[in-house]
Amino acid sequence: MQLTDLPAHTIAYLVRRREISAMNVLEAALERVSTVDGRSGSLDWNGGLPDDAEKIHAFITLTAERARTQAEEVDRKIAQGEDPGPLAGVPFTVKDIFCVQGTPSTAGSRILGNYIAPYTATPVARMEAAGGLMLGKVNLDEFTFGSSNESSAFKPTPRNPWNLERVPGGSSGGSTAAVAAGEGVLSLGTDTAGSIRQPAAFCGVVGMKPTYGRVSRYGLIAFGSSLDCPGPVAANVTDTALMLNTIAGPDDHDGTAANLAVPDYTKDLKKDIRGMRIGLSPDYFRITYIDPQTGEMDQQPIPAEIESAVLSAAGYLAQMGADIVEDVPMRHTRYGVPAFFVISRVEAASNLHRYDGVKYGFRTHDKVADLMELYRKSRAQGFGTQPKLRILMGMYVSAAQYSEQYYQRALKVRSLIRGDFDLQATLEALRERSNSPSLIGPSVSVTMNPSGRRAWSPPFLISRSPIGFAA
Amino acid sequence: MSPNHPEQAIPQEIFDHLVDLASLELSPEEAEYLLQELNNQLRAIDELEAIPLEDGATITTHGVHYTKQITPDARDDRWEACPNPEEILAQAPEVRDRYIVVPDIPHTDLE
Repeated sequence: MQLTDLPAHTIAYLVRRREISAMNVLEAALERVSTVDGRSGSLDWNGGLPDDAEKIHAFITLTAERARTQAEEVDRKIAQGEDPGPLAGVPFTVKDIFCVQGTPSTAGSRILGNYIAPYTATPVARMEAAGGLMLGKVNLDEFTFGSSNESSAFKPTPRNPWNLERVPGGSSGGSTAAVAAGEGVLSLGTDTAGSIRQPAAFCGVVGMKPTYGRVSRYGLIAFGSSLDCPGPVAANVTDTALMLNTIAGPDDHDGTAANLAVPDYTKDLKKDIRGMRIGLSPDYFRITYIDPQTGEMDQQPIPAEIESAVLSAAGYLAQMGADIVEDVPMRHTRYGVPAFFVISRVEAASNLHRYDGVKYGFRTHDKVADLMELYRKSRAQGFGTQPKLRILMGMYVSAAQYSEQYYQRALKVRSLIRGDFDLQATLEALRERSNSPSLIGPSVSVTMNPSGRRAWSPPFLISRSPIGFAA
Repeated sequence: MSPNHPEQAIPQEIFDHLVDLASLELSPEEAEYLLQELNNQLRAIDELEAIPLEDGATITTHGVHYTKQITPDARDDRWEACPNPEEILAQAPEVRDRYIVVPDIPHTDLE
């Protein structure tokens, strides 16, 4: 076991007690990266090399010198009796959808492939101020549009450390792969429709989507502005709570960051769960999906292996004294996918219009006649297929003649989805005799984002691959 | 055209108009793929039509209900110096005398 295999809270504890130095931890992390990561994702990828199949490829940019400077500062503070912060000496990675001053901030897209951010995202700044060591920027699906990391323009794309022939999930797949491989002890991800929870389940780590507004989005390159939630990826629940303590809270730079005090999330970790009512909803045991051939929306039961894992988790919770309540109705869950499709595409299209080859980012090298041609060629060559698809769909469903049928209707359905969490039947089922009800199910429910609810995915068991459940 | 009937989903001329509005250029293969994907996704989105909505159903723009208590006050509207304008200018693809250079801007006289 190396230092980076220790939990973040243990590393910080040992660093603060001077039993190890931040520099010791950093060197261990860099050695791990050097051993397991292989070549970083790049726009200049010219096909796979034999060695690629044996490596993780979580990183796009390694910021070793930045981390060394931070490690020196932590060690200096400790030597001088100053408080180095709660994440003292903890190496962390950042999904490359966050701006970090002086680093390439690419969103996994050619159109931002040469962009060096002139400012730092609030959650990253808070982790650095807390003594964390920013190890680098990790890969993702282009602009977070995907669930596997395969849509990134930076290749080779990350592999799952548990099985290198599999994807790590996405879009925060670089984050979860890096944590699972012990490259970075923590990682900052984002979740717009499961993009932290799903790859966390794939990679056997803990991923949390905080309540919308709990963590500032300042410096986050936007996908769906009313849905995007920055959140922690960690190897265990205590580290997740520790990281959320650091990144949560109001921010003058984000008008949607809720003006709420941040509790110490580590305090309740050992709280007795006896008497807590935990719900199981049959609506969470069916997958809603779009048939790729016909485009029809369909539903099917979740795989038996996953259902069994979730029910086992419920069984363990019952043994610990929780009250398990079955058949909690979440009747609008089925409509989460189409509502999300409409809302997210409209917001994505709006956010992607800013990339035009003029002020920053990629500009076509072709000769152009005028500004309009510059826009068209820069955007055509800079964006991959997934951003183009979202731009076109977002423009269509928000067009004046269709908006009432699609966008406005989706926003009304969003009210219904949010209402599921407040329905009398749900309340009666869950809140009686309990002031902290919860629902559990398979790791990803897209309804958590339109409804703004917090949700997280701890790993549960390892069978052929890791399986998580959501709470 | 009614977007509610799959057989009358996004036709080529509407698609071409969208591509133009989006300031994109697509290869024929890319255009064919994206048009098919759009029509597929539209069929899924049409599911929204099946949801019974009561008269007066309200929209929700955020999942979270922002009460006055948790909504941050707007910042004071005051000028602040940018600490690093040169870093920002350095991101522009082409700069001359601290102005960002672009090709000719086509102008249209308003009627």
